[in-house]
Amino acid sequence: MITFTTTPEVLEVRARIREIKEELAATESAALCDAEAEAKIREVISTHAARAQPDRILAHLIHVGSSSHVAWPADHQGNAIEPSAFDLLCAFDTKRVETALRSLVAKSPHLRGPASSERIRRSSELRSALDEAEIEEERLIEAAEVRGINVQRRADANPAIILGAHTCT
Amino acid sequence: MERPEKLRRLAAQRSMLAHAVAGLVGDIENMNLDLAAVMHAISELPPDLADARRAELQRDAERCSTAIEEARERKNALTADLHALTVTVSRLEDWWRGHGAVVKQAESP
Repeated sequence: MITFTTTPEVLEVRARIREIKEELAATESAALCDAEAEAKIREVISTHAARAQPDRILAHLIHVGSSSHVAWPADHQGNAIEPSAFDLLCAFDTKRVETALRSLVAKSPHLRGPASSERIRRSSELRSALDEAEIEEERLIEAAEVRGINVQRRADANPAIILGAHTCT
Repeated sequence: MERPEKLRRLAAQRSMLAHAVAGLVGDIENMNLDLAAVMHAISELPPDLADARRAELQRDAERCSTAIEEARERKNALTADLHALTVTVSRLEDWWRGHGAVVKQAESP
């Protein structure tokens, strides 16, 4: 009959893995720094400006047609997919939107995250630490198996590490 | 592509565990039948029969109930282990299907 148990050494390394994963999640979901928020402002404006479909509006304005309104594309229920007021502002008053959004971020009291380079560096360190801890965990599980003790793998354990192939991929 | 030895070993463990769970389910069914037979025997006892026979049958019924309860606990524990092992094996098999070829290529001289 196969039975499973968890050895104290495995429990210890699993506690460490949990801590690393928590810090990794916190690092990767940290608030952006102001420079990144600035880049995101430009990205948001660009995405919404595209949704305004200025080419479609222009085509309507410069071609002969019987309709006085722009023919927007329709969704599967036949409803027109019109740009929002924000989309139109982003397309036709870009500078104003940019200034407003920049001011919104600047006035916000939210905690600024670390610079992206610092976040990437810490994230990389934590990923290495996680790999090392998972390799140690698998080594401990294998050592227990040699002693006749079966230990279940964690449901979120790295398959590459369990199969000893993490350096190959 | 041939699976790594560790994956094959875990899959074999899962099969053994599934077999053990199925065996326990069968045992529990048989014990339930035994208990039903004892309860039936108790209900069929003539009212004037000596209390000793009745007490003996009731002890049998209690023994059956205890054994059923213990077997159920064992089955539940094994089922939980089987579930966890199935998750592990499925994840490893999925991973191996996606990356096995790359790993084999990197290992080849």
